[in-house]
Amino acid sequence: MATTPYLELRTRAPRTIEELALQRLALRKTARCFSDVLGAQLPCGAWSNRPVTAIPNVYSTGLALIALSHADPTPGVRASVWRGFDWLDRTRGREAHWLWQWKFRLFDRQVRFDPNKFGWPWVENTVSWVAPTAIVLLAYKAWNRPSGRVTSALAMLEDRACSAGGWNAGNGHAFGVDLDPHPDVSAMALCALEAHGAGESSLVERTAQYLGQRLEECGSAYSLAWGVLALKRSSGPHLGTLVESLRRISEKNKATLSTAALALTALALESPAFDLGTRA
Amino acid sequence: MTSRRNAVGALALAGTGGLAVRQSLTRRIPAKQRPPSRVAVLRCESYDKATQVVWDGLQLLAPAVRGKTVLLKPNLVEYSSTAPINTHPTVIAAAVEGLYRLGAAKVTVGEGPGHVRDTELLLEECGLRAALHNVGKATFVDLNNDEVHRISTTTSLTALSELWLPRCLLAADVVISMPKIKTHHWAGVTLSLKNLFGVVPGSVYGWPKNVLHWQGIDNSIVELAAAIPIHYVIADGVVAMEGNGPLHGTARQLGCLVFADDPLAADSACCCLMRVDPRRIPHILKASGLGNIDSANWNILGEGVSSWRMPFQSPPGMAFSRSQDSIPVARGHWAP
Repeated sequence: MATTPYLELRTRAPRTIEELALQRLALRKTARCFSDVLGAQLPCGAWSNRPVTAIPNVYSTGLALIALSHADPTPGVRASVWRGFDWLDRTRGREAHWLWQWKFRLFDRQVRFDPNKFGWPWVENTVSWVAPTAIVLLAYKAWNRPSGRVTSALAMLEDRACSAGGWNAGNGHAFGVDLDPHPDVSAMALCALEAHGAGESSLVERTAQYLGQRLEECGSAYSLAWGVLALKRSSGPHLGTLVESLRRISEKNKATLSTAALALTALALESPAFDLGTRA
Repeated sequence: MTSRRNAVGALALAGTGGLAVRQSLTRRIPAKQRPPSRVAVLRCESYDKATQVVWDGLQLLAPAVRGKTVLLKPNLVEYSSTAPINTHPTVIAAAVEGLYRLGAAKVTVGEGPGHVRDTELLLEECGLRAALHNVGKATFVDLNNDEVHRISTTTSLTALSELWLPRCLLAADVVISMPKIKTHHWAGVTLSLKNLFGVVPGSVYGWPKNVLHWQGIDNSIVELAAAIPIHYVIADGVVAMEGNGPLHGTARQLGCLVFADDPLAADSACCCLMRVDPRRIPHILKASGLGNIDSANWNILGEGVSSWRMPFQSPPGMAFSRSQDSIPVARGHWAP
């Protein structure tokens, strides 16, 4: 347990809710301390990734809820979590509104996607993107919270995948060109699909294959850690190499890694495998 | 019921569209009397020569950086082994080196990529990390994750009354925008002004900075340009991009670097190099009050020995209005 990422992680002062939530998750076995996560919740129920801005952020709200799924389930924690989910239930990508669906169907057709299939935006009054949608799907799964939004969000992920597998930031095809996937976002979406039982589809297989190949020569602990977290479920042929690579890179660069990368590394190197969509 | 809803939707959209068109045609930053802007276009046929050309350009431009903290803002979006998407690392490293030679106290390279969250991976794959390591004294700040401070906006072009921006941008004495010269499927061109999207922190607004898209890309560019002073521009046109930019266009050997002390003059000059009429690029027209877009108000630096016009292919669904202006180019001692 007391290996490099943990020791370094204890010395870090998180600057964002993303860093805070991931740090608390990574250190949960030695210090189940989530009071600062609870304390950062906004009156609306969301979390702002940069608390000083007070701008509600879907991605950090999802991560905060995942972190709290490992807290002792006190009445205070439960109340906070339900307020968070209530806000998420109300927040949706702008394309969910019939007026904007018209815009995308009639006028704004350069980016190919089905506006009927929507998930969550990064911040309010914008359209759905893959990373916040995937993280929120993991939060719903971690708390086994039923929601009518889950089906649409899973369909959105499938609709917006890249043709060769994996995900770009928001969609797979724009201005007549197939977009290339990004490893971290692809890993998040893969975690979300698998957590919700979509682990057998060809999209999942293509994405796992893409991640394994894309990350083989990757020098970034952040993307590698996300890749390992996603591939641990399937234990594919690349997993051993990626784990070793992650161990080596994080050891070498531990002082310069971001807190988020360090925490993700710690989670990715856990044994048994850490699952973002499973509550403690 | 559905058809009634559809009819109402179509009407509402048409109304909104009409208002947007009206706004886009009428709103712009009021012009002020300004001294002439200094512009230099230097030949640079390959990146092997960029270190020397950047130094020559900096000597011509003579930026006031002695004892100052300088932020270099390149354009880093995504890495592709085939497409010239990003400002070339050799140009960035040369600028860092040159600015230190001119007496800058501290030079920071800062960027907040719009789509890619893993900036470390991008830095490694595009070669900037290695290039900055070779220079030695340069630091890189991920503007997506820097500490943020609030500023008030200064125009009514967007509904944003405030913006949260990175500390190292606001604290810099001198900001130098270092765009890659590219066409852009939404903005027409992406140059020093559009490059400002990269200072908006993803850790606040997300990846991409979709809030800006919903405020109107052109209006958002101008809002940022009005709020953030760009003191100098070094634009990478050695290998530029035409057509379906900013990511999937075609490489175009433009063979030059553009230097200016005014972002409007720089962007206008780059447009003329591409044979694009800058007055037909909405964000440049709207921002025209912030600088000199008319070449009559420029002092061309260096030895203007040839004229340059190289019509760039427009992005899909967009037809460029062609500029008839030509820009004098300093041939320098590497010219064929």
